[in-house]
Amino acid sequence: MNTSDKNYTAALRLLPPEMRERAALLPPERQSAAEELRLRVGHSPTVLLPGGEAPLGDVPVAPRDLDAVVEIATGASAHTSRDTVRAGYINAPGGYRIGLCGAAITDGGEISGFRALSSLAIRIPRARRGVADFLAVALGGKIPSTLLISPPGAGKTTLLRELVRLCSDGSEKLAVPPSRVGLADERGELAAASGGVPQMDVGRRTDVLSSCPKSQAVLMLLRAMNPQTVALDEITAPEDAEAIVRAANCGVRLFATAHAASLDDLTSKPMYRKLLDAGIFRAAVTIVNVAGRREYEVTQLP
Amino acid sequence: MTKAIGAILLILGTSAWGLLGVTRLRRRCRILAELARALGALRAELVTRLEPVPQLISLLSSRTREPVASLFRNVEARLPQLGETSFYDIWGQAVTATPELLLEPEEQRELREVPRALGRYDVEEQRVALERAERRFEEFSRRADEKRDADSKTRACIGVAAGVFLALILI
Repeated sequence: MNTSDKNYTAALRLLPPEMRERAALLPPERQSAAEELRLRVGHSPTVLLPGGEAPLGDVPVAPRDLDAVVEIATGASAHTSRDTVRAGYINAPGGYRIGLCGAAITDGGEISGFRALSSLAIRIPRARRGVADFLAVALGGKIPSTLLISPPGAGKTTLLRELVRLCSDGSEKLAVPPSRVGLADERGELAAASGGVPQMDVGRRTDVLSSCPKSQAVLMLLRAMNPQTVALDEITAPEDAEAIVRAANCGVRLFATAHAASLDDLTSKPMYRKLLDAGIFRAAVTIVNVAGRREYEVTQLP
Repeated sequence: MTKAIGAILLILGTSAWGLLGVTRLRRRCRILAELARALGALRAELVTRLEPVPQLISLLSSRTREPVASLFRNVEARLPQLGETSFYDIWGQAVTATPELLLEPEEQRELREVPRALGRYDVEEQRVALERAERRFEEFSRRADEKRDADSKTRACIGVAAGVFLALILI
C-alpha cells in the first residue's frame, strides 16, 4: 500500500463505521487519486477524483452521519474548534480539513456553529515527495520568491508543502541550499501540527506558526524566528498582501499561493497586480489540469 | 448456653443488615453530592478553559472521589472506541459499568443524558445544560439526605427488633 492509500484509509476513520466499510471498497488506484470525500444529506457519499466525483455505495447520507463525523474529528469536543468553525471548517488530526455547510447559528453577526449540517467535504492531504523538484531543475537550484497559482483543489497546498520541505532540508542533488523557513499555517493544512508536532513533513529547519491569521503570523515569524524564507497558503485579503510586502522589505524569500486560473487571470485582480508590480515574486508556477493530470508551468517574472 | 449464643448471633446478624442499609443510604448521599460537584467542575473547566472533552474526563478521574472517579475512569478507558461508538453510548456503557454509584433509575437516566450536552459548538449551550444537570443532582442529593434522615433510625431499629423477634420465636 503506498502513501496515498494510507492517507485515504486514515481519512476513512473520520466516517461512521458503516459508511467507512463501503468507502473502503474503492479500488486502490482510485484511493491513491482521491482528493476529497463529500457527504451531502439525502445523497450517496462521493469521492472527488481528478476526473470528477464518484459515488461510494448507494446508501444516502443521514444528518446523524454528519454529526458523527464532527464528533469523531473533534474527539467529541466541537467547542474546541469554534474559531475555525467561524471560517466554515474544522481540522481533524492528521491534517484533514473538513469543510462545513448547513444552517449556521450566528451570534453578534458571527457564525458560532451550525444548527444542522447539510454537507461536509473532507479534504485528503497529500505529501508528494519530489513534486517540487521540477522548480529547482527549471531554475538551476536557485529558487526565488515564488507564487503558486491554480484554481481551488488543483494541488497548490501539496506543492507548497513540498517546496517548503525541499528548501528547508535542502538538496545536494538539486543544488538547493538548506534554509530556515517560517511557515504561516493559518488553517493547519500545511504542517497539520498536533500538540506542536507537524504531522506532515515540512522539513527540519521549518518553524510552524499555526491557527494564527496569516497577516499576523508572517510578522510574528519575522520578529521571533529570524527566517530566511517565509511561506503562507492562499493570499486572500489585503492584510495578507501588506504582510508580504513588509516581509519582502525585510529581505526574506517568500512562497505563497493564490487562487487564479492563470497568471493573466491573477494580474486582472488589483490586489495581486500590486504585488506583482512591486516585483516581490520572481517566479510563478501555474498548475494546470490536463486530462486528469497535473502539469506545472514555470514563469520567471520581471 | 447454645441457645443464648444462637440468639445473640441472630440479633447481631439482623442488626448488621439494618446497619448496612443505613451505610448504603449515607453512601448514596455522599455519591450524589460528589456527582453534583463533578458536574459543576466539568462545567467550570469547559467554560473557562475550553478543554477538549477527553482531557476534562481525565482531569475529573483524578480530581473526584470514589466511586465517581471510577465513572470517569470507565469513560476514559472507552474513549479510544470513539469512531466505532458514539460518545453518548460510551458514556452510557461507563454508567452501566459503575454500579457502585448506587443510582436509582431516575438518577441513572439523568446521568446517561449528560453527554447530550457535551461536545457542542456552543459553549453557552453546554454551560446551561451542565448547570441544569448539576442542579438535578443537587436535588437528588437533597432528597437522599432527607430519606437518610427519615430512614436511618427506622432501619437500624428494624434490624435489631427483627433479630430479637426471631430469637424469641426460635428459642
